[in-house]
Amino acid sequence: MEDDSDEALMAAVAARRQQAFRLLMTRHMPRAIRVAQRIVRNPAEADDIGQEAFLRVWNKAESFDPTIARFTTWLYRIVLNLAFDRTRRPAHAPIEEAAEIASGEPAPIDGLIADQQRRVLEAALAQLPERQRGAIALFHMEGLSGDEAARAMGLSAKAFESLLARARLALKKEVETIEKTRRLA
Amino acid sequence: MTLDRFRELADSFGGDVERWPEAEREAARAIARSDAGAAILREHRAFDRLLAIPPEIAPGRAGRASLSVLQRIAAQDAFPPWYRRWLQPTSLLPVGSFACSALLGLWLAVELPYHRDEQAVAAVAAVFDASVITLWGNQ
Repeated sequence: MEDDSDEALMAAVAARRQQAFRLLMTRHMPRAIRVAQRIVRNPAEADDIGQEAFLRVWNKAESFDPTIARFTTWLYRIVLNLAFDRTRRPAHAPIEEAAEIASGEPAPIDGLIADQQRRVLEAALAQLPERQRGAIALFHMEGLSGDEAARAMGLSAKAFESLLARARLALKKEVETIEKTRRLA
Repeated sequence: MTLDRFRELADSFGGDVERWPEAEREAARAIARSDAGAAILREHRAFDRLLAIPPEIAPGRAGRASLSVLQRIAAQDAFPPWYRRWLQPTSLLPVGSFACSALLGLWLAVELPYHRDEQAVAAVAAVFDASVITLWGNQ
């Protein structure tokens, strides 16, 4: 079963086989949480979205049709819908690192640079609308092709191209502003 | 492909031509070999690397979330929603019996000829007369 494709595992999930479902969660829960966190920016909410998404996978397994979409596209779509719903609700201020526990060991210099870059990126992403954050997460972070990401977001290829261009441009401006402010400080 | 279209695609999809839409890749590769094209791609590559940085996710988080999903499924199976409970065979038995009895009574009422029999009317009246019989026995 370990070597089965996601789509084959989904057929087993539709037949209520929990082992197949556990395997799907092992493979894809990290990416569900990662994409959710990129959009909602709150680790606790991202975890909730990951859970809710897989609960839907279990409950709606019969409605999954592998001839229409790949499992990952379907899962991303569920995660994005849940995440966009959450961002529309009035929320508490995001607690970026709430679920993370910092290591006590000194970080190597590469790690520090990466951390700094991550912080700049997080701050810049926070200024973007949630759909633009979603486009960046799917294409750049998850490495989906333009077509796959467009399908996951329910957009045409052309609309996705334009959304991604707007997102990159806005993000570039934000990163430059943050860098400039940091240099002045 | 014009240089403007090449720049548009780089603005959308970044500095790796292999990730651009398949239909435009071949023409884009030719421009990428020129100085102007190579400069546009170079400009976007560093930004692409920044965008690809994932948020930090502690290793245990996915495992804990998966466990919570399994617990929620177990809870949901242990106490199914009311409509599923009503559709259980044990719930359908009394409902089915009542429906069959009602249908049988209705069928008998329609099919049997009506004869007014004074003796039968008197017997029924006696049975239902509260002064003679109650639910708790003879008065």
